[in-house]
Amino acid sequence: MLAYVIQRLLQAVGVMLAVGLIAFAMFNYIGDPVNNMVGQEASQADRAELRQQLGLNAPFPMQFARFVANALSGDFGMSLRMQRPVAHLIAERLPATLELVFASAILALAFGVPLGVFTGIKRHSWVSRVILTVSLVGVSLPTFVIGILLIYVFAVLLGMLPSFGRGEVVKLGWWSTGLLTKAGWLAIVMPAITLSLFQTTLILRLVRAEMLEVMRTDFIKFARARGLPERAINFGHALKNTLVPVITIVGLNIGGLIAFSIITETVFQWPGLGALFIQAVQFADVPVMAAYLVLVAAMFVLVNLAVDLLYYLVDPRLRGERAVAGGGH
Amino acid sequence: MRTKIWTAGLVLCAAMALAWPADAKNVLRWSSQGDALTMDPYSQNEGPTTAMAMHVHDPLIRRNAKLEMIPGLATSWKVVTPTSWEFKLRPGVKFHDGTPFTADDVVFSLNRVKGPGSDFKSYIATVTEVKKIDDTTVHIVTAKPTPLLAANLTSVAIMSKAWAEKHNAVKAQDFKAKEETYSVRNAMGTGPYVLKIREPDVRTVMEKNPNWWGWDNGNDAPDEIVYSPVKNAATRVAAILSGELDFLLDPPVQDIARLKAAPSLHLKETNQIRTIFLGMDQARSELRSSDVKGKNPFADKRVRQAVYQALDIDAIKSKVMRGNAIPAGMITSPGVHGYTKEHDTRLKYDPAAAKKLLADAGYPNGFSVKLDCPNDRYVNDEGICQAVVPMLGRVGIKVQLETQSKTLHFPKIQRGESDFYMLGWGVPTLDSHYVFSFLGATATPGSSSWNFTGYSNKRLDQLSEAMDEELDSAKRDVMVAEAWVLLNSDMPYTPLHHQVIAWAMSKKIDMPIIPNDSPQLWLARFGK
Amino acid sequence: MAGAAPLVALARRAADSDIFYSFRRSPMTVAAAAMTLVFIVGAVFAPWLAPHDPFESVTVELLDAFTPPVWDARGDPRFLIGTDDQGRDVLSVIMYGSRISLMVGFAAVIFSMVLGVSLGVVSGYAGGFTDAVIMRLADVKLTLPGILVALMVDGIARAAMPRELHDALAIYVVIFAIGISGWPQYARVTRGATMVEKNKEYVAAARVIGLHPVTIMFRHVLPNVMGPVLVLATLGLALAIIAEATLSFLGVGVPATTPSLGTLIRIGNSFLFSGEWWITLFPSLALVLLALSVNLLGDWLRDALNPKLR
Repeated sequence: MLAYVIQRLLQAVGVMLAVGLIAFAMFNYIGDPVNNMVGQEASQADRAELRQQLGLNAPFPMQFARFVANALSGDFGMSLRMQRPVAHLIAERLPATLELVFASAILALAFGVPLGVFTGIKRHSWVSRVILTVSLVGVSLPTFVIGILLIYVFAVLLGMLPSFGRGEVVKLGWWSTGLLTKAGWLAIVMPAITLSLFQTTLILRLVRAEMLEVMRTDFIKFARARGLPERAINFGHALKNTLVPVITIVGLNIGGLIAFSIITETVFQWPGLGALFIQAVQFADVPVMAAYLVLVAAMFVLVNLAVDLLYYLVDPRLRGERAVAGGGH
Repeated sequence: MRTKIWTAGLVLCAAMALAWPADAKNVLRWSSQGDALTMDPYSQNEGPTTAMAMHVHDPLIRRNAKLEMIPGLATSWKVVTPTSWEFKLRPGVKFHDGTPFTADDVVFSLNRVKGPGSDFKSYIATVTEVKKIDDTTVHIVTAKPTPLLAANLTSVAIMSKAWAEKHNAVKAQDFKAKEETYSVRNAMGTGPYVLKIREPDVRTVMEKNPNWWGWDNGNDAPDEIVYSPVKNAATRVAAILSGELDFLLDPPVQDIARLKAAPSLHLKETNQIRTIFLGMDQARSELRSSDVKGKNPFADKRVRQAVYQALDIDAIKSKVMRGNAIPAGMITSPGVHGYTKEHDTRLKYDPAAAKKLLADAGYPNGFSVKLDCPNDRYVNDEGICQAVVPMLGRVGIKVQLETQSKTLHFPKIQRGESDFYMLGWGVPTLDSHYVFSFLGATATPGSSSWNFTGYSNKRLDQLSEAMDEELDSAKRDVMVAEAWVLLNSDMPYTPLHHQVIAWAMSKKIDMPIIPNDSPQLWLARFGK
Repeated sequence: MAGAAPLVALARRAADSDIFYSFRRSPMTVAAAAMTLVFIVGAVFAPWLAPHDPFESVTVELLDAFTPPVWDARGDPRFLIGTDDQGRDVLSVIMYGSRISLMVGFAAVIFSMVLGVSLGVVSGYAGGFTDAVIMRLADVKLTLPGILVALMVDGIARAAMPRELHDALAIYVVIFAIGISGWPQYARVTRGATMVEKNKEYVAAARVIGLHPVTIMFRHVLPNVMGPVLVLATLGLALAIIAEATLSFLGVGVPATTPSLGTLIRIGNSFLFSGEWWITLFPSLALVLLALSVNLLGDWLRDALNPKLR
């Protein structure tokens, strides 16, 4: 047990170091950081001094070590565009993105699981076929097209929902939430739906596939042979057995939600990390890009690790050889 | 257990009740595509940034809605000697923090403008000394006569010396500071609005300063101003149509008709002080992006005229600009001193003549060249350039178009790396000299010239310099007129059009539109 | 050509088998295949089939701009589904745009397929340290969502290359940015199959006759993984097309001078509220139809090749 945990932890650290190396390389080799900080009129002496101050003359491993140490203490330097510490910017934007991602994940589960169960059980019903086809449309509709359509219908034609922003937010310490005001709730509806559609279809199809697998297993056949009621078989036995992989995938896909929130946030002008990132890309604000990369990777690795360990607890037979993130399906 | 849930519920309800806004205040919510870059009034000379600063701060001299100069923190000013000005300051003015405004603040501010990190140096480049005479009198000494000093000072906000010192923001921007400069996110001035919340790219909230000296019956002025930039144009339009916004600074031209038709909105339009044109590099021996080698087609005036006459500006006006543009014959707009209808007459659209001019110049089969354009700076800039390509193609000039963000376009043309480029020019001083000095006069290395065409005309250089110092306005006007004739006949630039701006606002408010596209929200009035 | 023989074999097997039967039995799949074919033909032969050449300056008239589709009273019979803001025929721009979208999609899929299958074989055959490194690399890759990686790659390319070079290479950068995200799935599938084959006798025999074992492995492993790889590739094609459209929509994809479907949607989006809906609606429809058809094909393929579900 301990060996397994340590092995997993070491792997997570390894992955983070690799991502950190990429971020560090971006930070230091794409565009001279000194040039990014001083104006055109700065003298050579000024530049040299700043270079020394920033430790850019130190050997590579030293610099990387300092970068990692700084990153661990939450210091990613200053945003070139906003002249503010990147850590502050990220702390300000994080609540918006997490609330959006959280709301979308709940929506995706609330629709994906029941529909998946239904299409799994009633495999040949025409309703299932319609649901499956519609779900394919969901996969084929790019996020931005969905967003544009929703805005056009609900904000412009019907005037029911706001088209941008978070509405009214309330500060709870450093966290800012939109979930305590009516305006905030109205504002999150369309972005959350937009972001959740792709995940909903993914969960639906996954649950369906798992249901089909489980329904074929011997113990279901046995249950049926024992004359257990259909309800008990479907929900008591079958669904319970499909939920473990489903929860895994949902956990892992939170990373996907964070990535796709870049697009959703752009379309709805949602003031989260994704909007911050895309602006950083457009203005080549490398420190922000690097920090975002590290942050997203860290969240992903943490979720991954948690899922691994949970798996281990739930089913000790699994020695780490499990499918990751949608592979195989 | 149950009580716990109840308590939680009650707390939640209380929080929601607190969070619900009381609707008694007049809140003006507005938007445009980009945010102010900083709250520091001197570190970025950029329209939206300065517009925001002028709500928190006052300049010595303001411009009213018609852009006429009116007293600001200075109640009067006069030229004492040709190189020395006296400004009488408004007595009894207080900063938002309650400290009194004095001559020390003016001296401090102008020195900060001249100091490191400032992007406003050129406005007061000739100023050599700022002297405090007494608490309400300041003398400004210039190196040479500077008749435009007063006009230039309308762009310079006045900061508080005590505040800047207290918050370690004495310099406009200190790049060695490990922490952000305080003035990037905070501002405190004497202006009509007090900065309350500043979340860059998300929202900026300002509250009315009831003690402002400049209120003219300000009871119905906005109590609170909330600015949220929205990058996507379609989203901005959706937001004002659905009533989430009260004022939209930059509606896209294609949506103007729709906004006009919306019953809850009204739309104001005016000619902006900005002209869009194309510049051609005529000084290099060979263009970098052309198939013509060994000579520069643009060096021949006939080629430049061919470009000019090949452009169907009326088609661009009707299709790209949807009528919201005035075809231009000169590179400055109505409202600028020196503009006349006569100078603003366009050569007529004539592709046949253009072809003949090209043939005469030795290019019967045309030539190829690359055109550089911004895609987020002027009204439909990218669309205009896309329309130009086939028009020039039809007379034989094969244009390769490169459009990019203004953050890349301007550095490129400033480095002198473009053969053929789009530029727009506004005139904050409202005087033609600004145009000649930046765009007409010969560019010398190290100057702040924006003449990247290599165009050089000795007579124009003389005129530009002379009019800068000429205090006799009749004599000066003659110089200005001569300079325009020269610039129009040499054709270093192909004028396209003067921009027309439109502001969309809710019928709840009434507010004058300002031709420099810089809103003065303290002039907004909420109806009953 | 190591890959040709198994391909032919697979095709023969496919035609004989009940896969073909299941294809004919599913009208949805037939429709999807037909639609995909229409797109491919329309795109490949766009220069001959398109009613106009939208990039020829002599024929494009700005005054034709914003012409609605023919069924509108203001329509023009020359332009079946209207013109865009530059006066270009929307149908023709869509055909030329699909060309870019499909090209990027196919190239990206082939790129990640070749990379993934090769790494998978090497990983499965070599085992040990090499295997560990490659699989950890796959983990790192899976740690970062595809669209994020694509944005990063594009951003880095933009920052690191001079503008002219980047413009010239933009389309390859996009292909690389999208393709680089897909390989781990192929690698996992191939690695598993390779590990099964590795210890079979023919591998040792091949070594005896002087052939490099990896060459032999490719030949034998490929037919085994052809099914799952084909499914992954088909679904991957739809994903790649959407990813390209997304990048172009965000304004970091292929340059505007060679507009893809995503670019067309981005440009047309500005005219949605002003009533010129056809400029954005038709390219959007084309994109969705294309992605849907490919997805349907992939979906059917997955079910058809999975014997457990038949």
